[in-house]
Amino acid sequence: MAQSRINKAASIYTRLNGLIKSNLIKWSDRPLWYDIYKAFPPQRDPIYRSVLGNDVVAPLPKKLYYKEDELRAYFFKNISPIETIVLNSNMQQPNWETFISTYYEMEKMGLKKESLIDATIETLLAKGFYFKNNLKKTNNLIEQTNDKNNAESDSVKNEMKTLEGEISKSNLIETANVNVSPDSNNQKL
Amino acid sequence: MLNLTKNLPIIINKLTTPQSQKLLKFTSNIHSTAGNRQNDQNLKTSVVPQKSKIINPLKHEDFFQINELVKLEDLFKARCHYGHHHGLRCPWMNEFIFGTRITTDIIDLDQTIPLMKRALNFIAHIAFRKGVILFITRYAQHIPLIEQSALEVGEYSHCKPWRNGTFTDSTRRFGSVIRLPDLCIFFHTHEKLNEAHGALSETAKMLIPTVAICDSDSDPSQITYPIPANDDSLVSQQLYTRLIKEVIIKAKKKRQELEEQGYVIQYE
Repeated sequence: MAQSRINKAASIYTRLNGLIKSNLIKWSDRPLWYDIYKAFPPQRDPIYRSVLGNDVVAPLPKKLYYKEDELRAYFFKNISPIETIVLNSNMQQPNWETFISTYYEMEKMGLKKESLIDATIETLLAKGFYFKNNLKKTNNLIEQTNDKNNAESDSVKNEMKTLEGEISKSNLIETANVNVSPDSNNQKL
Repeated sequence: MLNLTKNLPIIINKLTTPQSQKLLKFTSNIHSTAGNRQNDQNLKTSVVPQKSKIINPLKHEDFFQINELVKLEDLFKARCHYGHHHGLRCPWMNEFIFGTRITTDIIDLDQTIPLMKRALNFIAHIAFRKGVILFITRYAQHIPLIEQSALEVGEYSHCKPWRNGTFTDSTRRFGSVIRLPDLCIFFHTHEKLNEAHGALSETAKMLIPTVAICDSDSDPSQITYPIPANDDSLVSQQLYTRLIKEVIIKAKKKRQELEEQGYVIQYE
């Protein structure tokens, strides 16, 4: 079949139209898709274009942020680390999503902003939720070092001071992990 | 331990006749023309048909009821909205992307649905006119799925590494004049990592229309009916194959029923 093989010049439809106009292809010998293309044309004429050419590139897509992102970040940093998700099913809700939904429920109840996080953790623990604790490992390490070095070394003291500071900043440890509370640590020392 | 020797013959049995041999059967023109096909049908029904028995399917807006098939919820559940890392993005895909969420692109499904309907409608019309459809991928994970779906429908697939000149130099490659496909469906537009499939330029050269699923890293400019959606995950590929299979079977059945009832299909 006679045809031009310059695929970058124009779309397939316009090239075929030209061939039909110049009688290189008879009207009865037109390909099968021609009528369908004419009746239901595509959204854009499929012409080749390069970034260096005159064609205008659409503006860059925006960045997506949500209102819940702040809460999510807080959750991963202070309450519990990220967990594995089962991708095969859409039924299981992740741990942090339940936290966020309960948080907004409590907000509707009319609690103050400062006490909202503590309240949500309390309600979730009452329901039987289990949070992996971020600070549990560090506490255990300190206990081991204490056992080895009976005398109180300065480095351990400093570590403990920093730890206490963190704990006082976020009052979560008291509620999230009942066994390891700041008071009990002090007694051991 | 896996016993590979036992498993092998089953795979071979499934793919008995190579697709290239099937293509060799047609020894007429390279392109099947619209005129020839109409004449064939008219010769069978030599009696002049009544005016009420003539049908032109292109005059209907939705001849195959495709609007009911595609749903937004199915696309979301099949994870069709996930794109690639924003560094891999092709600039021509900017208009189809909703936004970037923590360095990954999210595709706008509100734009994909009308495009998908349009592409499926085109596939159905080609199948209705008894055109040859070729399924193409080079993504190793999806090859068995797509080959099997092509066999089920009665169409052809090309999932082996692409040699340059299979369309453009077909007569020398296959030893005789063969019929090229009337439509190519790309389930994945890359042959290797970040390298466009060789068939993309050859279809444009040989005046063959294409339908392709374009992820955020593929170039949709030369494809006639692009569908912006995720092309890497298997769940989404299962959705596309399901939809295309349904559409092709529907069109073929409709053709058979209309011919049995004595209708004559004309395109002018």
